[in-house]
Amino acid sequence: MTDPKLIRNFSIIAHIDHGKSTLADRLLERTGAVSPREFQDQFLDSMELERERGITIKARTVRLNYTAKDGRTYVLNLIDTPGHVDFAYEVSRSLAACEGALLVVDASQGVEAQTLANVYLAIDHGLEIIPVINKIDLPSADIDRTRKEIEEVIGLNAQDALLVSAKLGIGIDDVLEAIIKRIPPPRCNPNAPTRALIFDSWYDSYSGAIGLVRVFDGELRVGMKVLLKGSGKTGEITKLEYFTPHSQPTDTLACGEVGAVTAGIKHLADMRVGDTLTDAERPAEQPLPGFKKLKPMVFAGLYPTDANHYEALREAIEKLRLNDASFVAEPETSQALGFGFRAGFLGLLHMDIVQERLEREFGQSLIVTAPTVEYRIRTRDGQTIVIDNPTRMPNPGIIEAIEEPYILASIHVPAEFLGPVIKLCESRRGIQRELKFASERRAILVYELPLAEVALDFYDRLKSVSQGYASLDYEFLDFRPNPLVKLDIKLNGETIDALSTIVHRDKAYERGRALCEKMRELIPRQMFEVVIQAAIGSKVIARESVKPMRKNVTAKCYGGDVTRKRKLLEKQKEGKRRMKRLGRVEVPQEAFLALLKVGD
Amino acid sequence: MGFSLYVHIPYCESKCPYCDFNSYVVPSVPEADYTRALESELAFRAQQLPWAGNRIETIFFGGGTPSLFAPGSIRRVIETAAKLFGLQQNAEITIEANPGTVDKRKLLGYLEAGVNRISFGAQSFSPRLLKFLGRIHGPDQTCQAVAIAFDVGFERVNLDLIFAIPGQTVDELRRDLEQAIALKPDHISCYNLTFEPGTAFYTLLKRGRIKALPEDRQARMYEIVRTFLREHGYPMYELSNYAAAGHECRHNLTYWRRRPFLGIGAGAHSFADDERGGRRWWNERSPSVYIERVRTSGVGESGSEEIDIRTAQREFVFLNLRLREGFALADFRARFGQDFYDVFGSSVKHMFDGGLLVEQEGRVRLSEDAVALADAVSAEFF
Repeated sequence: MTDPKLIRNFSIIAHIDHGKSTLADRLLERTGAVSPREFQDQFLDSMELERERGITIKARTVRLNYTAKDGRTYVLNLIDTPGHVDFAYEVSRSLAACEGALLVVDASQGVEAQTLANVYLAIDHGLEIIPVINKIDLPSADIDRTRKEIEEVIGLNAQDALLVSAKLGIGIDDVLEAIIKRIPPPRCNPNAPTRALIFDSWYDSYSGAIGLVRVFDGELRVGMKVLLKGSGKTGEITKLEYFTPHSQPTDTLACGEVGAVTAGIKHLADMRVGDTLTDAERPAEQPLPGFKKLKPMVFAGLYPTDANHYEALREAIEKLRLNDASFVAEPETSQALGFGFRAGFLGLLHMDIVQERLEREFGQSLIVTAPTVEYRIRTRDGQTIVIDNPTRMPNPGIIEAIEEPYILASIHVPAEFLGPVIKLCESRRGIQRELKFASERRAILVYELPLAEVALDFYDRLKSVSQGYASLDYEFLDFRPNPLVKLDIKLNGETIDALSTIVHRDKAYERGRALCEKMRELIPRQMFEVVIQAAIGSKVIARESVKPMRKNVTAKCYGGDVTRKRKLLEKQKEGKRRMKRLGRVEVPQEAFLALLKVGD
Repeated sequence: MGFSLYVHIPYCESKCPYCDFNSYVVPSVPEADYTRALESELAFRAQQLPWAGNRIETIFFGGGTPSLFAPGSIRRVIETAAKLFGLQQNAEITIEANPGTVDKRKLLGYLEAGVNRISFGAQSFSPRLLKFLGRIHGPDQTCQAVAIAFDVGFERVNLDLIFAIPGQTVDELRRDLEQAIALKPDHISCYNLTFEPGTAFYTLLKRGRIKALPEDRQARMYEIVRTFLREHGYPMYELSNYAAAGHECRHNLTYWRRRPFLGIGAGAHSFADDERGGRRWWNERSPSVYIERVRTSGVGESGSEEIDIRTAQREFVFLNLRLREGFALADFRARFGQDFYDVFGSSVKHMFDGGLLVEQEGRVRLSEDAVALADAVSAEFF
């Protein structure tokens, strides 16, 4: 057990490419946690996918032993965080496990948007923030300007910001010293009933759900019977470990410490991020604050491109769900696409990640249909139906009202981008609730927005109109009735159920037109003409057509070289396999997501 | 059962920038060595099945530029083949000729050697386009060559034309077609220019130095070619070939009907059918290596593939679909012992429904609309 005074729990906040991983690697190296030989660049991002996208999806922690200049050996727990609005809740739980954070800013780029959301979150959690100006070795580094930006944009005192080049290893000792001097040690109640915050969890095929925890009160011991306050599940701790980054088993995790718990909990869904782990025999009365059971916000169909691969897709989805409790999926059928699944996601990035993992890790060829939110339909005879698929919209004759989910969105934005951001929110049917200034240059906008307007491409648009500086955080408000209609897309006269969407009546024409145009761009010319129509009920509101290809023929047969000719045809056919044939129309995968590609 | 013999002559005076055939420009053509190699290969194959004991129905001297070879060399190949296999009575014997490489004496020599069909690479009658295509001959030479061919006694003359040349106008195409029919050939091949990897044109295209005509314009030109030639007595019988009934190139029909053919010479391809799916093979491409290989091993073969039955069925379909008459369902059944619709029915139904494929009087063929989409239609069988 480490004296809590010698523990420091911290995370690193940084914009992509500003050197978070490199700095983490240097800290690991400097404290001897990882030998240079073991360095596979950027130790913290473990999944291939994360590395390629430059996003840390799953938090990881590393325990570092650091002997400081005062001669004492400290335990530093570096807690890594994901960095996207879809995972804002996970980020907030990771930050709640810390007392401080390093804010890494690229000296040549200055403060950037992605940083802001997490910095504000960290400030909200009362973390001590240490500004670190990185990449000071670059010729384009401008330390003074970067300092000024940190002060003006974020409102932090940056006079004692640390000057670092993680790449060259400059200033690493200063960072370590600042961590122990400026970040407070954890406050502990060792004698209170045990409370540990789960800030990450994952599934292991041998051990079941494993939770990464920060102990706030009391302690965890191997053999202890534990209770999860949120899920109500109990289990017995079979294993405690921390990471250096290699796994180190331990008998106890004491107050202030960070580590992983295995307690015979089978399902990831019972070991949710944000839940509180307590002693089953002497349970804490109150859970740690901030537990939210995350619910999927966005729903879409997942279908195999080849109907014969349904079983394989089912297995892949089951396996993936073991690892991702926020991802839900139920079987459904589509007239156009056959057997598949209706899946729920936290947001679009989450959907993207699931799609990519299914394709890459499980080798599935997928069609993902247009994402939608849940709608609540009140019928004339007093029933309420909840639908997560526009196809299930009942006959308009029996509908009393259609209600859609609203969220309360808080947008932090530098003052100079306020105009475009407000315009965006207004165009998304937003209702302004509040506009305040956190500092002279930083505004906080609060809007009520229909989730459907936010779930699709709002975040990307927000980033684009604010040059990346605006940050978004949102919470669910309520369901509200609106004049909504189902917009169908027809290909050669056939309604393709997988392409239906629900839109606000006032936007239906515009959306229908834009969708048809986008589909026209995405569907390649083929042997037959493809007529694309948008319709509300039986009324066609927009029409486009993809003219048939005029010519697709090889003039010569290369003497007797039939082999070559045959291979060319095989290749041509291979190109089509990635498309879905609906009647006579070959529809490429991305056309099912045309909705996301329709600009404002 | 008879078979076809293809003889490849891989030499050219200059390499045309669009050509991706197996041809070489060499300082001095080893005509005698090459001819000997061809004869050796014939002798070797004459011992083998399925060739041994079968007569030759057609011979085609292709290239390259076969007309670079003297009539004596051509005669030796024909005589050797006749001696080893036997020639069918009315065998069709074609030679490809560059209008710039022939004169009266040569043409008469080919005729006397047994050649009875001559195919001239006219390509175009526009001096500008001929120059662009890198041709060594002018339009006048084509007219003279055709006149001489008829004069010395050839009855069957083909003209090769190319269309959709970058910069070519529809009017220029019409003029080319008019001039071609004015020479009264009995057969016209008219090829849409394509940009094949490995050619100078391909590189120029990739670098943006030349531009292919837009797809719609090419399609229109193809339509003009078909209509014009049909109206002037040359109906299309294969995607790029036009002739009145009875004047089709029998040799090329062998390829499209998926009948056996023996190819000799550098880079030549061969096909022998069998109760499985058949076998295709090809010869060493480099002429010098080919000559050497034949000298040491008696044969030029450098690679081959066994065709499985499913692939054979696909080949049968896509090759025959190139023919305007398509194929008889009975022939499919006779060859494969399975019904065409049992094999392909569900995967190609949409093309029958959509009017791209038609079945008429027991034959399946491309509809008129689908002629220009032959590859897209064929790919659906894969």
